[in-house]
Amino acid sequence: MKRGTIILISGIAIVGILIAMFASNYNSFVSAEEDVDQSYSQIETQLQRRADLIPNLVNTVKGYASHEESVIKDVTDARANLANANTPADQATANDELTGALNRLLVVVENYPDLKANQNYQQLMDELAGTENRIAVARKDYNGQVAGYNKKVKRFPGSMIAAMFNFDEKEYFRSSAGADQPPTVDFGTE
Amino acid sequence: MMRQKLFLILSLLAIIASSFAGNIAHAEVPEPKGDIYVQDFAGVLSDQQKQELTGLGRKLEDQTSAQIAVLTVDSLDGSSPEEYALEAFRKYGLGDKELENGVLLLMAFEQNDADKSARIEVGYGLEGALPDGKVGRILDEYTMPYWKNGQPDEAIILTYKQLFNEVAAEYGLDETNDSDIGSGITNDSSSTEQDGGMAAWKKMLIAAIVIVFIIIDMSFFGGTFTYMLLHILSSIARSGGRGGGPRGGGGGSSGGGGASRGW
Repeated sequence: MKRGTIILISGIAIVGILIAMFASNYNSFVSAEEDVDQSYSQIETQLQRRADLIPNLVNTVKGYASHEESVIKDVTDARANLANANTPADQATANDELTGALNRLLVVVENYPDLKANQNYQQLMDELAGTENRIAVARKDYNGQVAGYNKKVKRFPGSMIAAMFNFDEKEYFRSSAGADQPPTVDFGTE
Repeated sequence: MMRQKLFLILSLLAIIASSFAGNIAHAEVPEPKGDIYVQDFAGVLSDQQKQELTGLGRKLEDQTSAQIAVLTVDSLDGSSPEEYALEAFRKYGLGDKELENGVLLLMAFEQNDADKSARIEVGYGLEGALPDGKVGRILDEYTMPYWKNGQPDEAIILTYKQLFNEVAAEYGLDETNDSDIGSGITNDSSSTEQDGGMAAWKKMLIAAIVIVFIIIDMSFFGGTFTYMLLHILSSIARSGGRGGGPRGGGGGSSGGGGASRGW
């Protein structure tokens, strides 16, 4: 075999390998981005579910504790804010606000044993707690996906392909520091 | 010379494999033993009770592909029941991979009564049959009263049967198990399928190829192919557990649905 042929063949082989590498890398970006989007939609589904539970809860509480207006209003307002939030950060903050408002409501409800014993209320609380847990899970999954994806975007040689095809870093579902801590409630009554 | 190289390669593979395992597993949840349906690490159930639940679990899975599992542990090691149940659920892969129809009853028998907790975690696919409110009621009416009354085994069995009934109803089975003991025992322990009669040298060859592959992949392709391969391998491993012998999870997952109760 001539020298030239060998060089040609190895040249073709190298180009072939490079193309294969490139294609698989590109495809892995596409599927990673798809995974991130999918897990984000899971968060949104659960946020929506939570928002849908609120009116039901508010009505039940009103039936027993109608004069606790300010606490009820906080919950309703927080729910509205959540509906208006769009970016992951805004949604995370609004979600934490709602958690805070709900926690205050729950403290108030402690004073109404009849309400607490109401089966409808208990069921709602289970649904609400379940949804909160689902949000926590969806959030953890999403952030995990984002971390993997962002790593790909930043690392060489993926960074080349990311720059070429505009795969940008994704935003974590994380609220501003401290907002995810439930507020401490000061009992003015005791 | 050849042997030394082989040994080197194999030990390298072992190191890599263990580092992967270290990344994935979160340590605390114990490895499942035997059929997935009963994982009684706290030692609450008698052999007969285990057999009964396993019989129910197998029957349900055979007819609906849904899996209900019980996990009892002495301690959650500081995790919340929600975190622990999710971790266990996903580790055991309860329910069918596509249908996600698994249910997990977790009971933590901590030393202090105040730390004791129970959780029923429901896979995506059964959230319609077992909404959180209903699950909470099962915990309130069956699990917690019997447990608090010093009958944790009864609590488990009754809860399991309730879950069984709900899932069976969802799939249109007219099986019900109220309280009669020993109703659903099937002795289906015959192993029909032997897994893998692969010769040792073949395994070694494959291991050697894999390790070379991983090294090349890691250094040039950022591990793309390795992860792909791992995905394929894990899905094979999951589907392989079907035949005879102990039954594993079906690869299902959960999104955090269900309800919890403290003492």
